[in-house]
Amino acid sequence: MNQKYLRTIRATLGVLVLVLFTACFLMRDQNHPVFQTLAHLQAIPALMMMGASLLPIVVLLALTLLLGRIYCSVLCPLGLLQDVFNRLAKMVRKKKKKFIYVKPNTITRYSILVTTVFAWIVGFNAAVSLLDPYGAFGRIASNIMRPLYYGINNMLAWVLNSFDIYSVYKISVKTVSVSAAMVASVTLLVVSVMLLLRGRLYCNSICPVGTGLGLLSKLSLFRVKIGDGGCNSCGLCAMNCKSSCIDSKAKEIDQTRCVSCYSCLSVCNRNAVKLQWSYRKKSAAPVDEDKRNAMVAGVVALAALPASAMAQVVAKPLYFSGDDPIMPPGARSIKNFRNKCTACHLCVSKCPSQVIKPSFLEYGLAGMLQPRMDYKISFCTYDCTVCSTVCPNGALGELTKEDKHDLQIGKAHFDREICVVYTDETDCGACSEHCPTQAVHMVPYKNGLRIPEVNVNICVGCGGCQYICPVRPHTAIHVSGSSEQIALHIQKDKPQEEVAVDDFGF
Amino acid sequence: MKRRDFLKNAALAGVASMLSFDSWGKAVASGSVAVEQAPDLVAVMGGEPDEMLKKALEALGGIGNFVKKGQTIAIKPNIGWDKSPELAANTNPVLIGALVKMCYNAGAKEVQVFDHTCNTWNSCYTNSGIEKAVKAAGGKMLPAHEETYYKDVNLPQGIRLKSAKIHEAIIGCDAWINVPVLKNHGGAKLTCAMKNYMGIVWDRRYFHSNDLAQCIADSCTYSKKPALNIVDAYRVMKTNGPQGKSLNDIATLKTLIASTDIVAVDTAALKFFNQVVTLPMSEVGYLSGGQKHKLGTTDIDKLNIKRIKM
Repeated sequence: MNQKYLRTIRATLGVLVLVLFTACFLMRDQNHPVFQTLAHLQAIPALMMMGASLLPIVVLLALTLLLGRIYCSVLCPLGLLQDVFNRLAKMVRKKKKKFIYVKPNTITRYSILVTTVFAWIVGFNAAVSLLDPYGAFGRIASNIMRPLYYGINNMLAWVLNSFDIYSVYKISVKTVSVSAAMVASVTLLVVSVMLLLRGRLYCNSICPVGTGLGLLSKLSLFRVKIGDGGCNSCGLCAMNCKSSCIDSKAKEIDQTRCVSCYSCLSVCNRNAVKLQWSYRKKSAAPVDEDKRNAMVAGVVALAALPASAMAQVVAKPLYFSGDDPIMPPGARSIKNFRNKCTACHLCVSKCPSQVIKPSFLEYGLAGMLQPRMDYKISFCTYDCTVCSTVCPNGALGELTKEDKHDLQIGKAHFDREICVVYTDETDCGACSEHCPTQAVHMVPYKNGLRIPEVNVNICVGCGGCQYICPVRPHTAIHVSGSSEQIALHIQKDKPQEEVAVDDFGF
Repeated sequence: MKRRDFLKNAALAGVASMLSFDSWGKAVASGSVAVEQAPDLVAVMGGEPDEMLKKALEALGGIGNFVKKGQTIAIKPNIGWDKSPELAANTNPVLIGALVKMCYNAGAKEVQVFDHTCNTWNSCYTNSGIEKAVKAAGGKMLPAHEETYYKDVNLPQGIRLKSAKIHEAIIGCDAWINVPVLKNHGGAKLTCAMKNYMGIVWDRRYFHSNDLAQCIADSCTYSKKPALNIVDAYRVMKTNGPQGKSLNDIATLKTLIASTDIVAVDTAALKFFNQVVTLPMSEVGYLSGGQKHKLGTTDIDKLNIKRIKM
């Protein structure tokens, strides 16, 4: 049977998924349920979620055991981005790029995989963050594409607003982070260069998800195979294989690197390359070489263990002294947050008040680029739970509005000596005005003036007070983070008697 | 309003309109003539927000005194907080919807509504119910969350606030209507019509660090005064303002006060508020500031007040 349609299906799905991911990362209020589901099906987020739910990882395992690395061609936004670049390059190039079969970078890829796992185990999460393809895509979308998108939007708004059309409005990008944009640029550059030179080389030699899924793919039930019958070893399939994994002379396909893109199926003139049921068919891969490679990778990993432990030690001095960074609501504890967040910056992109910003080294080297609350640029809306509901890693656990109202993510500290009411003896109260729980409240001072006072027991740490405080260079009230987000058990006020008046009073 | 003040204002407006061909100036000049026979201040109690608005405007000689055919009208409610209407942190959406409709009925070309919010602007617009009410009445919600929507304006009479960036809707409109909600306020003690000016300016931190009460009074000296001030006291936040914590902070008093005199309307609102929570006038500094700027009078006993109970 002709299987050329498989490539079309795969490419169509891929384009849809990439468009969906890009749109949801760029548009703040766009949060399609399909995107939510697909975000939870990202490999590293699924692993991070295992404590809460095994479903995503089971789905991924089942998918891979069925169809090999189809994940890399349909679900992984970084892989899909490469496919689009590849397509664009194809259109630009005068001479058609011909891929050739190359041997796998076995030692490199297994070493990276094992090192990353070890690094995570010892608490050096930055390695996972940097290499998680979903996280990498998120950082590219959030820190490079999003500012560009806002720029275009603002130009459009400028034009439309001058015609009194306000359906498009200006959006300022408060949450751009130079460090995150630089890291994202480097990732994009590395991936692109590798892509232009050797196709899906990044996915097959660096990406730990690709390597891991490749190992599983050895067991997959459906595999692309070169049939003995029709093949005349013309090499068309190999020339079109962006994974460089088809040895057309030997009529073999390296399952660990095949990303199930099905391009080979569509180019074969003799219908010799086919997706076949391959249960219990022995792999033709030379077993000895595999064992040797695994051993080498093991040794590298053992060497990596002290190295990553050292990195953790190195990370500590970089943890800025003074205030702890303030974690977004739902992070629970610094340990949970640092271990689970892979800095995809979806929360950064989605935060309606733009208060969540990528950190640089505020969480230390190990927690590089993980998001934090920045009360210099905005503050957290009392009723809002968006970040906790979008996080696919479970680094931010889902909160209800009631949970959020009772959650302390930081504590306000008041510096009376620099407060406007104290120094200028004029009214202010901006902090209390912005306090949703009245943890910051105004008490009588003198000459009819009132001055702020803080009750930390009901302070949720939203940062409204710090954001609006007019005192400079240092605000007279500021919020400090803590390593644990605790439930406050705020007592609800007792209902009061209805007040009624039947006169105007004047 | 004293006759002398009225004549002075009318003359000023007339001169302004001649100098700048400002159609607003003409509107005020002609509108003021009709207002002369009407009461200085109207207070209505006991109805729904839209019914009370209707009564108040009838008493003031009709909406036609404030809105002319073909005009672009800006309405400035308080939409500062991401709160539902029951929590009364924002102006009542029913009132705003009814006002937009009345403006159109009076022949307004376009009615624009905006506020420089404290919480995330689009959440405030949505959750206050105001966006829905305005759009249902055919009005337009304008964004006000970016500095580029504001233009520099000089305030020559200002004592602490000499200039401010004011929203382009106010600058560009033919007439604007100030529609605050009456609330307790941590910093300003009381928020009503004068305090509502903080939502037409961009830099509010400057107010807070440069004598809040004086800056509020100074901001109200901006040459384009509201054609009318309508105070929403249907639900009144008596404590924990301006944001409020819960329904406990709210008293449903079903009242509306309207006047062209911004100081008088705030003074009346304060006296009304004092029936629920004691707040001496001396503590609300911007009232005397407003009187010193000759923006109106705190001596409302001398005014012609019409009181309507429904």
